Amino acid sequence: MPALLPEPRLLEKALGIRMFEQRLLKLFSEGRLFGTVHTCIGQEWTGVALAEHLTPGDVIFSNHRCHGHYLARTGNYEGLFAEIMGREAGICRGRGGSQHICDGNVFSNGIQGGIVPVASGIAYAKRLRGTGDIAVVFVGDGTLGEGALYETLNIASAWGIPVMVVLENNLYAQSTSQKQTLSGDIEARAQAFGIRTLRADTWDPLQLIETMGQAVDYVRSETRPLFLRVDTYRLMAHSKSDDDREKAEVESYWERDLVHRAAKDFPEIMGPIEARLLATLDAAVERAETSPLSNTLEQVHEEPVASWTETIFLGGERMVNRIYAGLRAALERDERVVMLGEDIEGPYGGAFKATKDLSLLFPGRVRNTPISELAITGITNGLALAGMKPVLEVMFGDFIMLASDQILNHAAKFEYMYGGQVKTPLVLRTPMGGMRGYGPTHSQSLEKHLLGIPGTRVLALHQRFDPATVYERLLSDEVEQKPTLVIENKVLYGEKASPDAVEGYKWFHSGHSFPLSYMRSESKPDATVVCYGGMLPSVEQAVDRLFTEHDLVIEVVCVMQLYPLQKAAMLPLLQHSGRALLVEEGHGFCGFTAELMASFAELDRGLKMRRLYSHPQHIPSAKPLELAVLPNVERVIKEVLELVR
Amino acid sequence: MSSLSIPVALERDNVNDESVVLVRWLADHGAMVEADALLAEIETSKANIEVHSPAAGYLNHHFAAGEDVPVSEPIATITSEAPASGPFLKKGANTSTAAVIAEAEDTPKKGPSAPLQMPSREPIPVTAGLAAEFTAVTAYRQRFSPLAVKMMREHGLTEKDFAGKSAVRKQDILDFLNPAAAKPSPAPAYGDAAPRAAAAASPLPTQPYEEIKLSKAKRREGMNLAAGVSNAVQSAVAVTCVTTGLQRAIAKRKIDGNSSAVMLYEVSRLLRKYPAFNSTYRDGMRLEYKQVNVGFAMDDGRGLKVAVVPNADTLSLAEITTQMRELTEAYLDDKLTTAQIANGTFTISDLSSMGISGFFPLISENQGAILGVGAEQFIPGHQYGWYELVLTFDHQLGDGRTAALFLNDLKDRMKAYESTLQELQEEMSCSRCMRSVAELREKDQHLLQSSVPNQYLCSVCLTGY
Repeated sequence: MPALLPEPRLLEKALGIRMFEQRLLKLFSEGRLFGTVHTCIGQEWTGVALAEHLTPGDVIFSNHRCHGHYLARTGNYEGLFAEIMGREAGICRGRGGSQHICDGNVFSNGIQGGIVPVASGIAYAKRLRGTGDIAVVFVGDGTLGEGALYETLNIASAWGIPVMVVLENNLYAQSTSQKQTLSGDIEARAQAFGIRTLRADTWDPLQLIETMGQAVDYVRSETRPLFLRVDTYRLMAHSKSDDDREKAEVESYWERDLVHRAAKDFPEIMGPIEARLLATLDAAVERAETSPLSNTLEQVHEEPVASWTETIFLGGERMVNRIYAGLRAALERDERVVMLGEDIEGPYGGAFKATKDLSLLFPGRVRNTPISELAITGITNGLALAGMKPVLEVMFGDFIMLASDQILNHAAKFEYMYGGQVKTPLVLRTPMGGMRGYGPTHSQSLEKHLLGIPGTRVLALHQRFDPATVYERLLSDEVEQKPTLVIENKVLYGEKASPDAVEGYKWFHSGHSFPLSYMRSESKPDATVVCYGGMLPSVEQAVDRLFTEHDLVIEVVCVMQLYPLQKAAMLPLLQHSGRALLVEEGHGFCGFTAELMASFAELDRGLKMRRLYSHPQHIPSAKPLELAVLPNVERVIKEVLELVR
Repeated sequence: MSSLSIPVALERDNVNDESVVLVRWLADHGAMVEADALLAEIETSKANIEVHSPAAGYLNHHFAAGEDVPVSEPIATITSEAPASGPFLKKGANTSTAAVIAEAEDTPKKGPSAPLQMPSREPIPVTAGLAAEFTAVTAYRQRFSPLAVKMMREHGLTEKDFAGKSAVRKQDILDFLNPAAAKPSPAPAYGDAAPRAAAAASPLPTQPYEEIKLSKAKRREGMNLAAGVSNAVQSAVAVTCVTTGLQRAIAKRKIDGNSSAVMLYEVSRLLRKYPAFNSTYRDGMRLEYKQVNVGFAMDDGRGLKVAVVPNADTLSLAEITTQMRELTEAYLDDKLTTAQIANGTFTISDLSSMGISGFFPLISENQGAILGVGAEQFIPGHQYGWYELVLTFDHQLGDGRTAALFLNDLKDRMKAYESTLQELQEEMSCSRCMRSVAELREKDQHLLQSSVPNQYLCSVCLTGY
């Protein structure tokens, strides 16, 4: 028992969190809330201590055990009750529940590790804007196993990101003891990155509050990261019944717990507080339960196509220069636009030279990153969440699966699971595709793995619609703000961007923000080829030869927005000929063309369709074999002839 | 005011018919009709069919007599209340042209007015017509396929003739040469593209003319023949058969059946020996029919019909005779069913009753050959006359030599009916030494049939002395 008891205001906060969570367990046993809850009973003081030092602009990013951190800062029992009970009045409209909250600059997500780069991205945005605000991210000792943490510590230290990592060291990852999984020293990890560390514990709250104050001041004033280790102990199970710890061990920590002992030793202080809290919580539950259960299904409406326009732009420049032009225009127009990526700074200017001298023209806004796809995607995510318009270049699309957690579990979900309170308009540029002899891990078309994630958008550039226009639009406020993956096929970088069509045809584009392109003839077509990205040059050549060699008029639909699909706009184009060949460079199994075929078959069973895609194997480096594996002009011709036969 | 309304639907009697002709109404619009009452007569490509009322009630015509009716459309409804005004209320705009377009458009509707059928709850906006949407600001660069250039040269056409077409290939030339066929442009026809392709027509004549619409049956016949012609590489061989009067001989022999039945009987046997003529050609393959279903053509002025004797090779002459008689009677009574004219694998066209000496029969759809039988020709006063047998066959399946063997075989078989066995044998001689049966008998030798060559050889020529 420390010499000094914290003031009653702080005791009330800590006890309030504890009683809130005990009430949750009770409600759960009564069947009045959904899912599971992870209580922080025994750890309440970290949240309480931190809340003493934050300013309103500071951001907390917490994890699955986040109730205490949130309640200490906001005191919003009712909103959190309603959220966990799945009510419309919940802080995230009942979508996020216990682990996914967003209110009063407190965020949380149930993924270990991934929140560290996101919080750092938010802090980086604060630094770029010079607000003086900081971000605090809570991790557990279990998170020490996640690579995202170390990738981020490295960057945070290198870039001077004002982020404070608070490690709540409660000795167990769910039921696994730290003794089984942890090597070396905890603080030494952060120190190795040149990050200052501090240490405190929850058994001496006054000391913890003081240390927390030092830490916050340091991060804010030095604009440096800091690692704070807080030793603590979870007095209840990880979730509910999953507790295999020694009873004697758990009891020994109950004895050390100040809230528990104060109730015993100072009933005259704690009694009235407890009674007051009980009334508050009763009322909060009662009010929360008056709100209707969350019951709104997401409505997805296809963007209507108002018109088709002949595609006219000043062609002749190489694609890579048009990409550069679009990015440069966006940087010039909007200070929120920043770019991160591996090797993107001038004079090197990116592996494919898309960013050229932008880092020299816009100092500090175009930055080289370490080879840490997961962390840099997470930081980009955080930048977007904090209101920036970040663009990330991943050097090869093959590396994008390293970042898939950030796309799938963070960027894609934030807007929805935070009840529509935030937008995450990050732009992720990456080259995909083969035909360059780069071999199995630098030639793939992996976009199919990232298609169909609700809340995201996937685009594929092609040379018949100006890439500069695409990036200008994407980085403006005119289009829907959501995470967007842009596929830049490698073979297209050197192609000339121009609206030139095969002789006898003309390119039109739809009125969508990211339009469909349609190579139309005035004659009634014999068939239609649907393709995207790097397949277009092969398809155009095939169309040319099919006309001269086989007397066939073949129209082309080139899709830019792979997801969400613009199928209603596409369908009449295919019905015009009644026959469609669907082409993609990647593997066909569960691929884009499989989805297209299924979608069109649902709409019109009369369409005759075939698919063309990569041979189902890895891409060899030997170029002649690579060209045989991937769809090519000859195969397009062969498939079209099969289709119209 | 919900009134009961029962559609009068057509039974799809023939998968080849997308539409039928409503020949005449037998009950007036607005009339009260009993259940099963005779309502109308319709003409399909195969037969005329009577339409009966599915229920009692007031008759509400949807089409006028003489119109083409899509098979999927009810021709009328039977309602519990009398129709308010004149006929064609429901189908006011549905002129015969509209019906033809509906037919041409094939089952999946493709066009500006066709609403999308959505299985999901996502509202998908209906897009406006393709033609209206794509107005180019700059001009298309017109282009001609090599085939198109060749055809244009042949027909003396210039690039200006194809204004508004940016990529001109063979089909566009054909459409230009025959604009009537080009509108409405046929939906892509999978599977039966052949008859449409065969319809590639010549320019309209410049002489004054009157348009006479062909009957449904005639159009169907034309499509069938065009399909046969377009699928086959037609070739023909003929043989002249010397005869003393086949029909008379058969009558004299008192066998069951006339010369047509005998011909069909013998042909059906020969087709097992010459399967190439009981086949059809598809994509580099000979599809050899497992059955021998021989059709025979009839036309007494009411339209050509080919009635089919199924499995003719397994039937006796008497059975064939009976079947042919029944089929002929059905034809004369206009009661041939679809089954009775379907699935022929070979056809005999006998024009002997018309006095025709020779002609060039056309192979029917999905068949590989057809036999034409000409009339017996006699010079007055002479004992011997002759008649022609013509075999038109698909050269992709057989060759002239096989066809000749087939005809000679048939000729021999028919000849047999003209002679008694004795007479026959007396007339036969060795094909090499020309000695007759009588001469051979004297030398204690005899005549043998050889398969190669398919002739008779004497035992002397065969084995040597």
